[in-house]
Amino acid sequence: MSVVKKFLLVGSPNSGKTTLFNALTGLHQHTANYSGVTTEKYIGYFHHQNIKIEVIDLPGIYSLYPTSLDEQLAVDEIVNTSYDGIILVVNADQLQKNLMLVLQTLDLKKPTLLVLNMMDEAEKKNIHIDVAKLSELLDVPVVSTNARKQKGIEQLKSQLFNLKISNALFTNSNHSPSDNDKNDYIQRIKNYLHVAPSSSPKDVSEIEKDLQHKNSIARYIAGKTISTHSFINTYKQKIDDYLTHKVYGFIFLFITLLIVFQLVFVIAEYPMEWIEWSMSNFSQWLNEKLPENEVSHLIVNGIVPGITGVIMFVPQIGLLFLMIGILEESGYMARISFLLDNIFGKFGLSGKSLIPLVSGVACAVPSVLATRTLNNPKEKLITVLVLPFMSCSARLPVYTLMISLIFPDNQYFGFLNIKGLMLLGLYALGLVMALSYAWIFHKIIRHHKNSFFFIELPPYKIPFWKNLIINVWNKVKIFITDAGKIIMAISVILWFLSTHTFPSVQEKLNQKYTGTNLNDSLKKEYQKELLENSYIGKAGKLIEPVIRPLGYDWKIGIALITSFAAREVFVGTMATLYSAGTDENIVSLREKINQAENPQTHQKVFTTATNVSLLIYYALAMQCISTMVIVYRELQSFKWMLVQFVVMTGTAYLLSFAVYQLLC
Amino acid sequence: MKKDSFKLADIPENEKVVIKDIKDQDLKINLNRLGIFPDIEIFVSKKSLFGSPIAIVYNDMEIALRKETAQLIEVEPVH
Repeated sequence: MSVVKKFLLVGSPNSGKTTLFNALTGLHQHTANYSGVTTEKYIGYFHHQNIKIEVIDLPGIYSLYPTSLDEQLAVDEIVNTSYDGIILVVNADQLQKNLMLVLQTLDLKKPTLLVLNMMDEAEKKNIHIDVAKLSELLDVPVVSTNARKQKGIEQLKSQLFNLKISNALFTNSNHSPSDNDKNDYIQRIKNYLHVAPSSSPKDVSEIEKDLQHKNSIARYIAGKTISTHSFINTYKQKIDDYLTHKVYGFIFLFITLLIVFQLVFVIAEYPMEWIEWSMSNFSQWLNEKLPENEVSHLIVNGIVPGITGVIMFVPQIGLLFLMIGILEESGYMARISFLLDNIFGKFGLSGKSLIPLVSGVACAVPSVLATRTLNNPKEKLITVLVLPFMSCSARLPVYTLMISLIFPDNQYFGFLNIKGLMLLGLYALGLVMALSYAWIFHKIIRHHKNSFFFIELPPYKIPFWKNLIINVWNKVKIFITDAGKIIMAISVILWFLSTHTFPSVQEKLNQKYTGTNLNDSLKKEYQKELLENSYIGKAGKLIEPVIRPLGYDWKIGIALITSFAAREVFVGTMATLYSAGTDENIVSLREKINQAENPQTHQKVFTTATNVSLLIYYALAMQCISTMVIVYRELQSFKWMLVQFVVMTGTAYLLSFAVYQLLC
Repeated sequence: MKKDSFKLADIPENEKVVIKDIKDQDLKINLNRLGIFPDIEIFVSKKSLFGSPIAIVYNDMEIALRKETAQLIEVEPVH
């Protein structure tokens, strides 16, 4: 059994902490959640001198007096758990601004090692640090590294067993450091944690004094150790002037969005098609190889589609997180927030909500995961709640089918194609609904006090490829392990319910279709009748009274239920119900649907009123179990998932009802 | 006695000011955490649409505050 030593990685946001973490542990990391929240806790491992070393990469903090949730989690871990030491990371060219945090951390009297990251970069910027002097004044070992170039990493590892508790005194007490004092500072932080952020601490003057005191020490130490001929990088300053400009800034943002959208929507399409193609070939191959029985049917029609449904999302999630990683690491994401905070703030959203909302046009599942960059809980909640209103790509096949039923031919309104206009209108409807509900939630949901808002605008830098790749890998892993299982399970359940029925009904079906060799059209007829009589089919008939006012019959009811798996399943189910062959032959499907009549009244089922009603229903209703699963996982709340379902499907129901009654 | 003091929210871009007072206790601690105290000099680097957020530079760090927040910070221009 090997000894395990545990270290915490502490540092401010943008300190290069995560780069260092990745340099130390590579892919030997896993994620856990802090209890009760979805903020990820990154735990990595490496071996040094036959000792297993565990490193925890805490969320970035500015101070030990936390104000955001992330900071609170980090500080809580620092003062309330046991470990062998703290690795305190500071970006060398921002040592001055980080000294306050350094002093606070040393005051905890835990074994500590100070790491000056990106030392060579600082030298290039004419910032010189007297490392020996710094180590002497702070009374802890100091190593300099460049985590991007793997420089100084071995030295850091060898220093891990020489950590030291600083004996220098940074608190504003007038007696010498004693055991009493050691616990003093920890106790003070614990007290603060206990009250923050729900109410304001009573003893603010103490904290103020402490910070003020440390600030003057920080200035003294900076004066002794940092010599700088630092100049404002005019070149980067110029770029920033354009990127945050009131006109050019928005133009650049628009271009950025286009690129993100293209990648998530268009480029991800290729691997997705490839996955679909190979999985369907695989299931065909299985179909031929496996004996014809229940288990094979389950594998081919339940499990394989379930797996496909999970890994189909992987390219989009990967690409989206790659893009977000680039935006975050480069420092541009902070500028997006800066540009949009005012406008989005009015709707209770944040500038950072933009990327999830835009990616929602491709698929809500990766977009919900993308809200993890929002650190204000209320803004995150609202973003997640309204995001699925954005018309995702799974709605597109439904839109195409229904619009082509309403307008069989290409008609023009001036030079504009009516089908195109209608499609645009549906996307706009989704956006308007998302913003309206964001505004309503903003007014209803109570605001946490103490949500003092600030964004740091870090210097621009080129994203580090290793961080990007590890980040994408971690996110994909979380998706597959967290949401994948549930999506998979539900797809199997839906398969079962749509292919099974009460034994007595099944027997009748069996009698009708056995004996003769089933040819293709008879097989289709059997599948249709099985679906109509399956549990889901029965449920479709059961809900008919509810959906009647929207202009739907029980067959549409069946499609509504099956398309809970994914909206595009609607088209496939329609094809089965109207024996129109597969969905590749959309023209024949369209004709069959168009001719469908109510057997009693001999009226057309798919009138324009019904079609428009269906369009609106699919645009607004929460018809996607994968999204519900991921929302539940992300918000850790059954209640909010339910609220979202009721709001979306309720709105869809009422609007479809109104439209149908108006048109019919 | 009081010299002309302004609210940070009303200071135009590219001006240097000295912080005089921070009106809200919570906000005060929050800014202290970042090393921002009364009597330090800050630079208003840029403002977004309709004057919010407003970005200030101090100690090589640029941070953006909302207008409501900047209303609570009293400053004096540097001449």
